[in-house]
Amino acid sequence: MFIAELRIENFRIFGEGDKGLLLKLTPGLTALVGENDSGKTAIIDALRLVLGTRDQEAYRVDDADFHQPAEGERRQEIRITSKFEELTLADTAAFAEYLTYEDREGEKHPVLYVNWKAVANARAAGQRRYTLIEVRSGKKADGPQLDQAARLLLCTTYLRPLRDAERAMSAGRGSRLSQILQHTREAQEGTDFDPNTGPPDDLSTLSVLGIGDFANALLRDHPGLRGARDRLNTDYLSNLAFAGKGLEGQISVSGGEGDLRRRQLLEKLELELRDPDAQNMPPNRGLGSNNLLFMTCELLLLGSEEDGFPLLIIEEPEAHLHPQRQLRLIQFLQQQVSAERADGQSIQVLLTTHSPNLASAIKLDNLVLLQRGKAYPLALGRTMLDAGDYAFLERFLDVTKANLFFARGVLIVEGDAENILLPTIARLIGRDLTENGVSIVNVGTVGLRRYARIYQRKDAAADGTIDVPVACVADLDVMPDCAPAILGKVSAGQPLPAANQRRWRALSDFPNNTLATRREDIRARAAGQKVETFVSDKWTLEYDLARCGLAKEMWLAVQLAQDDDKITKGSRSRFGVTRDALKSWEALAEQNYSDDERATHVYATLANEDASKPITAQYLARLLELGGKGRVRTPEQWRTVLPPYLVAAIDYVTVPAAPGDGGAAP
Amino acid sequence: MTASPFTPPEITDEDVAWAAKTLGLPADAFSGPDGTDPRLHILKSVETLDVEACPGSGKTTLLVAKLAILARKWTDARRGVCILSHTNVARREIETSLGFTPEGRRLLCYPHYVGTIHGFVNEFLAVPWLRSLGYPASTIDDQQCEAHRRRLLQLNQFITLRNYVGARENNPQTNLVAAWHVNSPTFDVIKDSGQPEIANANAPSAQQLRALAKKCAEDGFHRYREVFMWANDLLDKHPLIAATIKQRFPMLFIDEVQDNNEFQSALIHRLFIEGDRVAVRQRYGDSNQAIYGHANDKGAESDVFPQDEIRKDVPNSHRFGQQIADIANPLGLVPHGLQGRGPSSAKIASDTSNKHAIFLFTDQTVTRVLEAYAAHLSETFTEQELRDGVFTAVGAVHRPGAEDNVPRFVRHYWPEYDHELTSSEPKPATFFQYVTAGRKTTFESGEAHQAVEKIAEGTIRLARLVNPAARLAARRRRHSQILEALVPQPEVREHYRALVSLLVHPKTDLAANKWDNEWCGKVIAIAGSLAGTAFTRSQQAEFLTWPVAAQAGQQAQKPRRDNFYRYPAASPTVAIRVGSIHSVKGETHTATMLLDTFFHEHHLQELKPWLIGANAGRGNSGVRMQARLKQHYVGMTRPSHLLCLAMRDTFTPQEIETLKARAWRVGRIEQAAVNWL
Repeated sequence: MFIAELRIENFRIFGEGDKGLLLKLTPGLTALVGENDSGKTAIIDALRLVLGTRDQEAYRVDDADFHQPAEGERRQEIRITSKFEELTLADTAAFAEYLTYEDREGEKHPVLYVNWKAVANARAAGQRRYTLIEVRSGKKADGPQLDQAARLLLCTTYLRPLRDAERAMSAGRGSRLSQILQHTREAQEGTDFDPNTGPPDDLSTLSVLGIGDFANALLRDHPGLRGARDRLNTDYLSNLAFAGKGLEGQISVSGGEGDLRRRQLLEKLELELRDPDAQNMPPNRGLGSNNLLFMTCELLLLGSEEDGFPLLIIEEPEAHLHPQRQLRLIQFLQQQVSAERADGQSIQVLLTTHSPNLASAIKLDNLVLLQRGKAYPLALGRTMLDAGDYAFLERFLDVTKANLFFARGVLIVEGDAENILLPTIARLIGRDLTENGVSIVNVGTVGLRRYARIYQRKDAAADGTIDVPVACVADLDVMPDCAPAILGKVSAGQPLPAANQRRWRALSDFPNNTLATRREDIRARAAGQKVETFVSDKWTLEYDLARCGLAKEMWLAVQLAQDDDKITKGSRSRFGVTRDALKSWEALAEQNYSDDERATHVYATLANEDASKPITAQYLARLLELGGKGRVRTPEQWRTVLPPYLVAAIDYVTVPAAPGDGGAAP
Repeated sequence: MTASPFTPPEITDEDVAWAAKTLGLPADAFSGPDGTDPRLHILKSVETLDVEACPGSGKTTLLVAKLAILARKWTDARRGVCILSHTNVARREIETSLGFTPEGRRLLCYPHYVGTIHGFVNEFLAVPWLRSLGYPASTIDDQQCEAHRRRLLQLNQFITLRNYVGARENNPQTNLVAAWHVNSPTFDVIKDSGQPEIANANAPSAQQLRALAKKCAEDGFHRYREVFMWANDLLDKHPLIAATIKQRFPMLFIDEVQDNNEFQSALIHRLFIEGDRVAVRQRYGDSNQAIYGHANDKGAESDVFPQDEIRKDVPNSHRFGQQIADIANPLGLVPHGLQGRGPSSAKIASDTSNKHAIFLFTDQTVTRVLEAYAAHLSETFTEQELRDGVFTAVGAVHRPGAEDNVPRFVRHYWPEYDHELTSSEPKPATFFQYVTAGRKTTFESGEAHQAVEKIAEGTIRLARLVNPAARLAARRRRHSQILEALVPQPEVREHYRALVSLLVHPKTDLAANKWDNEWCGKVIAIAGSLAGTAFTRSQQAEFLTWPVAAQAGQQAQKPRRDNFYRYPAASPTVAIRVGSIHSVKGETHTATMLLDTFFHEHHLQELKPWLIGANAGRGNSGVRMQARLKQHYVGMTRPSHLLCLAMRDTFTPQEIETLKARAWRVGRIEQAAVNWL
């Protein structure tokens, strides 16, 4: 069985009804991703409360865990409901009295609801107050209370963030390793040691207990140890004993009886990680390696058990692991969840992460995006993405792009130039992207809309919309009518070739309001819910920048980019190039060009790919930043010289800095 | 899908010795002095068995010992042992004899089940299913269900049905509503006879009846038998549940199997036997002792007990001696050849051979029967033995009926008898009766929790009477349920706690003026909070009646309402518990008197041929006579030392001689004393 649904009400950031959390889960691996305070840990802690954990470290609910709404009094009743589906026969049998039968495709299927409720300030005798906890079955919590022994079957394995793996793995009373070994069947096999007949011929057939007993026998007969023991007994202990009640010391690996003896023996074992090529054992492994070791041990236990509910909760598994190892870990976990145990169960893993590395390695299908107390599974069928989109994104959603899962706003752009320029432009107009927690995702030339659809819910009415503004920045790609001749695509005065003979479009191709239709077509491909597409006003980013009011800056940037090789090699100085560019700009400005013609001339070098767009963008960004520092313009003035679509896109994903917030803009 | 394989724990001689020690029995209790006792083999067996055990054979002890061993060796956290019985005797036996041990406590909770068949069907099948269908199952009780249906009948939407019922319930003997059973998940209603209440299913009255039955289920009221219908419905719609149950409970024990009726047997068969059999099934019972709670229940036909090929007998009784064995033996349907190996002289040493007596009475002397019996006890036993022993007088019929055919029921022998205090699961009619019934068990056991639970039960019953729609789930532990429900009202909660501790205290005098002035108001406030609606005493006057007899003024001689007949009245030396045969099933008494009662005929009179040795076994007897035989066989096999009968004087001198020759003493109750014939 697996947890199919989790409902949380009045717990920490989760409120009641619409404001509560409803999280639907799928079998296998689920990763909760999202910014801080989005509710990831609250979900994990809710699961710990409702199911309990195997480490026996009880987590108790605190006064502060009761939800405090923005207005009104602190809530008095926390309700956490978990629903289990796909019960095996052993599951339905174990929970027969607690089951609920639900309709699915006309048939009744047994499911299990576990409803955990805490009521604050229940009053015991007198003034003593306590928190009343109740755990009931039934869809409406109308079933019988769960017996303690039945609840124990649901216990999860919980691995806390920054866990002390070394302590858990080292020897000692109640060590996690000894617990794990005790539950491993193979650790119990083998023959016992019989002191009368001596050890078996093949020592490898001895059981763990047998090895201990054999060692005990050897230690007992070891002359050195025996001497020490006898001296201890006769010279010291016997002098301290009372008459008729002797005191005697024993030196052994483990005493005790039966299970106790085995446990004591296992507690003396220690798990160490070893590099087979290393000559010497280092005394301590790094935190990361120990962590990995710890996790694999827990997985071993979960995978080999035959009863109990195999849920593994890992908070921030990336802790102490370097990026490549994080990827290996995720691969391994995904393998583990697809394996079936002897009892027909598979492990379910729930993890939280802040790591774009992990997030990029996990299948999109397995991610749940958390946003301000709401959960949005990105599973197939829940988003506007289709199966093809999932396949595409699994291939192309890399670490840099995975940033978007942790952002408060997302700009999706189609090129390096936008990627480089937008942060600078945003700063100039007083909307710093970093301060706003906005990520830019550069999708290159393909898939802009697929990324946007990650943020669009299939059933927004039921799910709600993801409260992350997503702005796609796209080009209109329509050149002014003067451009084909300037760029040499046609001779001056000649008519344009038929539209189906060329890949470019000019303004005259769009009579009447067909241009508006083209613009709307582009916009509509990624718009709706909190996703909006901002289409360039004219042609491309660079043209529009030049056309709108930054023609001179763009001209300088293009000239610098053209000579970039020489500048980096040192054969020309940046200053020299700039000086020449300023001269050529004056020459251009003196020509009696229309705005379109002038901007086209500025852009021509880039359009004909005689200079690199990204390098141009870098130079332009630098020029703009210098302008910003020199306070050439106020943010309001900057807005007037920047293409409106860029300003709108940035405004869409950001909020104005509060006065005194110390934004970059004055 | 089939249940996964199961290997039962092995039971060794060490386990047997441990069980005997834990239960405080001699080391050879199960093996017998020479090791040949059939009990040992049965105890060690973990295979499918039918155990036919005679009265006093220690069947329940045997079962408890086995369960204790299994609990001790049980390792599976998700599968358990299922112990079903007709009454809660097995559960109580485990609670009292093992409750203090870890094994006993483990047996009584998850993943095992110990309890009645009804409870099992409720817990594992009907209640989860009803819950899933949207019908809460808060009250499962014939009487409360009938009452709720009558309340619903008053709604305007059921007017056609109301007229239909009114026209037919024209004399007090007819109770149409009490005979209604929902017989299908679509709420078709049948009568006790199994016929539809309304033949034309499309008639408006029939439609209203279905709607009323559905509404009743939505409000959470169901009848005992309907639970089985819902359980079967679950099995129809989700057949996998049978595999589920067999997976959960690979070992099934049925105690008192002879008492299973057809509904129960058929369902158990369907769950555990059909398709794949449950891994291990052991049934314990005595086919001669089959008596049912309801007169018209039929015994099980679908899965006959015992099956010869797996049958094991325990024919020797440690309870009584050969004389009682010889008297009772012919009443067995198929006489076992009872062997009396008792009684133990540890507690009661007086010789009772040839003291077993038949008391003959007339209409004039019927009320002196108990006195004569008590006098006979005083002559037979020492004073110490009278204090230590258990003395009873029981009749087959103890609920009052018509006043003719004296003695028809137990009260004809003793006017103070109150049947409500006796039934094995008493269903008191007033709050007062709840209080006294609880105090009675607490008085006997010294444990307060029984009285607390009883008072809590009465409080919840009152809340339900006030507001049938109140969401009060059917929970096992009523007291904690109330405490939980009253958390939001700390003051009422404190009132409730104070009241309970007061009423439970044995020194508290249940005076009517205290009730009127103090307690009644508090009970009303508490029940009102639980019901979510306020009410006055006059609205529930009947349930809140408090007998004036318990009033002050009789401080010196408070009548003790506990169905004990005390003798002599002035300074009692012996107390005789009066009750029904049904209520003493499974018990052992020092002395038992069977009181003749009436159902169609006077029972003991009808059994005369078996008493004088003319008949043995069931022969060609009809169903009614077989029931009579079984019931009185149960009664006659209760005493360890002394058996007495009370019968109307209809014997011929020759019959009396025959009885005397069969070791009976026969005495005629006369004005002054008993005239021994």
